[in-house]
Amino acid sequence: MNRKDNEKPLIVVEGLKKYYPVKGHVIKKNRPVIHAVDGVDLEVYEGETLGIVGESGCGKSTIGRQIVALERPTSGRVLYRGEDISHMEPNRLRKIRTGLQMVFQDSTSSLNPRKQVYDILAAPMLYHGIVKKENLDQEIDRLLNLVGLPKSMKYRYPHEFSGGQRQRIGIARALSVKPRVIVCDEPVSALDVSVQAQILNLLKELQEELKLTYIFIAHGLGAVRYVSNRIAIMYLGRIVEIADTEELFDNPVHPYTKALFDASPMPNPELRGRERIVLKGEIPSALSPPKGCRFHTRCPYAIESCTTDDPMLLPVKPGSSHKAACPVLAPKGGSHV
Amino acid sequence: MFRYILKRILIAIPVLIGITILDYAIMSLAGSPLEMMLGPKTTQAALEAKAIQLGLDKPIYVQYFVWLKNVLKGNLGYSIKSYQPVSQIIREHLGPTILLMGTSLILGLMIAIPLGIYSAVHRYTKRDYALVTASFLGSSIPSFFLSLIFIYLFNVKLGWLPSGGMKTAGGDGGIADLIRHMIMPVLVLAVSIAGSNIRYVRSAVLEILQNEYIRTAKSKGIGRFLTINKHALRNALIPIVTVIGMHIPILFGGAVIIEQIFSWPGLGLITMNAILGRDYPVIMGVALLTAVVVLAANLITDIVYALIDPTIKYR
Amino acid sequence: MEPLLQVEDLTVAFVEDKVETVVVDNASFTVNSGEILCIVGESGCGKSVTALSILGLLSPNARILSGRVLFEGTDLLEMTEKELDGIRGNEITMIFQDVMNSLNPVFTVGNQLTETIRIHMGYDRNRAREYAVELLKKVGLPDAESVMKKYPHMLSGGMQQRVMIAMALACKPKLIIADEPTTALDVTIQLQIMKLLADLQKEFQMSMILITHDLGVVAELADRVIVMYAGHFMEEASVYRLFDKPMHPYTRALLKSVPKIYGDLGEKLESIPGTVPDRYQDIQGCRFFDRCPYRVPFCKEPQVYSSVGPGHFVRCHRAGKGELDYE
Repeated sequence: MNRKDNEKPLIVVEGLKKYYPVKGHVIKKNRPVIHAVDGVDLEVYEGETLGIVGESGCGKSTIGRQIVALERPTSGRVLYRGEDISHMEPNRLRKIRTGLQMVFQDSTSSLNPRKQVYDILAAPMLYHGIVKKENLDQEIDRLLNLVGLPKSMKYRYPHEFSGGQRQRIGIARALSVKPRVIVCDEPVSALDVSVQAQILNLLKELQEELKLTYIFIAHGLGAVRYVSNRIAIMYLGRIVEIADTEELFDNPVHPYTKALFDASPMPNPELRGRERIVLKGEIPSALSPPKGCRFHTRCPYAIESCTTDDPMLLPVKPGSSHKAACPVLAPKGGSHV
Repeated sequence: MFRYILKRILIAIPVLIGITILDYAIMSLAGSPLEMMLGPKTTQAALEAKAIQLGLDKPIYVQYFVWLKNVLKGNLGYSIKSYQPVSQIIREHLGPTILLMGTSLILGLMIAIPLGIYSAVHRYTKRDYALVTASFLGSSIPSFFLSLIFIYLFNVKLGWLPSGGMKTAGGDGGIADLIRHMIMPVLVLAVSIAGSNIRYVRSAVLEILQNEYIRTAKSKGIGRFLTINKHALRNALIPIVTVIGMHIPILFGGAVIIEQIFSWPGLGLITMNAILGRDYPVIMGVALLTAVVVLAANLITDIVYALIDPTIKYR
Repeated sequence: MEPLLQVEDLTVAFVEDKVETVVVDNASFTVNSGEILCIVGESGCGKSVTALSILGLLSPNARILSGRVLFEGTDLLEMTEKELDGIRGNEITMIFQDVMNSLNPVFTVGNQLTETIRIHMGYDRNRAREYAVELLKKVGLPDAESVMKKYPHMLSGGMQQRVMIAMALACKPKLIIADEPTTALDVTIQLQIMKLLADLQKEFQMSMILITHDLGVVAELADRVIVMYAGHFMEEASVYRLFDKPMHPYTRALLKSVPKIYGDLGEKLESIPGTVPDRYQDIQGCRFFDRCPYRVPFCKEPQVYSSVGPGHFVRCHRAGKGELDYE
């Protein structure tokens, strides 16, 4: 996508770390901690979609939550339009919040089952003073129309809708406060394939129409490819590769990225017998990530130094925006000090 | 695990003290025992002298601390009415209460658990509806009403069973005699306990039967008996243990009404009399006992949970 | 050769408050020895219900209204519970979708595994234990001995699924029914499990009915495929033929709506407008009518499941007549 040369990013994530202590331990000193996000830097520019892909425990949802300031990071910070929202005082944060919204994966549990759609959409708008009471009806109709839901359904309850429709309600809710950024946390994972396509198309249309910026979190490469301009691949709390979408698909560098590609189900039986990386073993626990490169326990390319050196995310070619954290396959990389 | 238990016991102490403070405060609101001792000829001087003797002239919170101090020394005080040591009173009446309540509880659960399981397995059949209805009846009939019916039937009309007490006056006692005296009160209590628990067990088992692993068990062809009595039942233990745990305090508290009607010399009886007579030391003694029992029962229940449910870890 | 399993005109309904909702409508299919049949469809189409009916595992409010399920010639639907128990876990076994909840949380893996071995194979405790350990190794669990002593919640999703597979294999069944076995798993673990199933199937020469909504899984494992929609079978073919020349409009639409990770990125992802109709049993004609780009008035007549090639069936008169051209 075309970006002005000196354009500043809309969102900057700096050195983000988020650890969750395991509950139930009396002695605080040696309390085990889940390293959900362990040092992530990101930039998101206005109007683009950044995709974040990874499997369970990689931290992608956690990053999403830090970006919309649902939680505070353990260390590091998130800047929105230049301001540090991770350590902002609550009143100021409340005013800024409307700019950053989230669409959740599970529409069943993220919509209040006891509220009608009307109320679900009205509440945030009234709270933030986005509309006056007189215009409320009109605004709700407009929102429903925007997401492709019939106005006649505004007095229904969430359980009366299908999964895809509920997801539309979730999107409408996010849009109701006129955000600039929407973090979509696995918005289509729980939907049927044919409905997924509808929602993905909707998201794309809305982005164009309303000039939105998306952070699209997913565990599958297919959906992410369709909506994203750039994609970051995460493993156990770190970004292992990041690149423009087509560049990533044409030329995946990191072994984990390659394995992810190989594991993605392809609707073509001819590809059955092809050579593929089948990763051995389980995804390690985020309680104690492996020493050295976190991926080395499952990596088919691992060498001796991978067990001790923690690789940095570096360009695969000088000056390239395509970065990977693998000294073996992208030798320009070095190690964390 | 050990650290967990220790932590629980340490927390229990301030809770206990808090409970006794509340109990003492509420108790004092009911009025002074001195009022109960008023007779037509009581003079003001005699009243005051009595007050000093019993320590009732001091403000309530001082009275409380005096009581607490004594308790910590192991002295529960003396009954205002009978001058007997409270600890002795409790000891003498605890046995009969536990006997009565324990037997009723065991009988009630022996009825409720199998019937609850049966009801759940045969959900929505006539048998199920019949059991649930019976269960409602059992828990809804006022115990005094049922007691009176039983007494009328088995004592007055049929003369089979004694109408009250723990043993026949002037008789030589013995187990058979004891059992004859126990039958009616135990039955009344058991009916009530079974009544409320059949439905509880039923819904606990029903919930378990919805789980995926029951379907897996069935798909393995292990047969219905094993599926229910091994796979489902073992999981049902958890809510059943909850139920038993909740009933333990009742074991000690006794059933006040039943003990009154059947003149059963248990804790319930003397507690009632103590309250009516505003016998502070006895009331507080029983209150303390009850509080300790409830806290202990909770702790024991939690420990048993950790033993039977492998997904719980207390560290 | 006689097919291993023959399902004829199976109709299943759910009853709630005296209202009957038919979810599987006159389904007929066969499974041959050593083959993998995939039934693919979206949620609510009735594929899981079809699978569960075979072993009589439907919930109490389900009724089988008609049909026969012939396993090696005998109708399973006519069997008593006791007779069926002899088949379950033994000749026909099942793997379920919700891995995290499919194993009993209060018993160890060893206990649950040896249970089925002892009942169906009559081994004594020690022999059953040894065999169980071998099975766990076979399904790729490292440290099998220690896994035996673990409780299910101590294992990851992928490991739990392997345990389920071990349980399903234990008595050397002729048929395994797998209901969305990889859906709840991470992508890289999915691949491991799929490869495991493929290898084991070949080694043990078992037949498999694989229920899924993921076309990628179908492409990976199936020999034959049935596409299901709203209680009806819409298309049936060998896997290569289905992906190469899909004939039913629904099949085609489904294939086009999967976001691809290779090939050209179109401007718009082809989605299927609308949603699955409610109470589709009341619809006389084609149930895909409202959403089909090729619909004509005749589609409102009952559609026949007819042959369009060797082993290739379609429930669509237009496709049957070759009126829909390929791209």
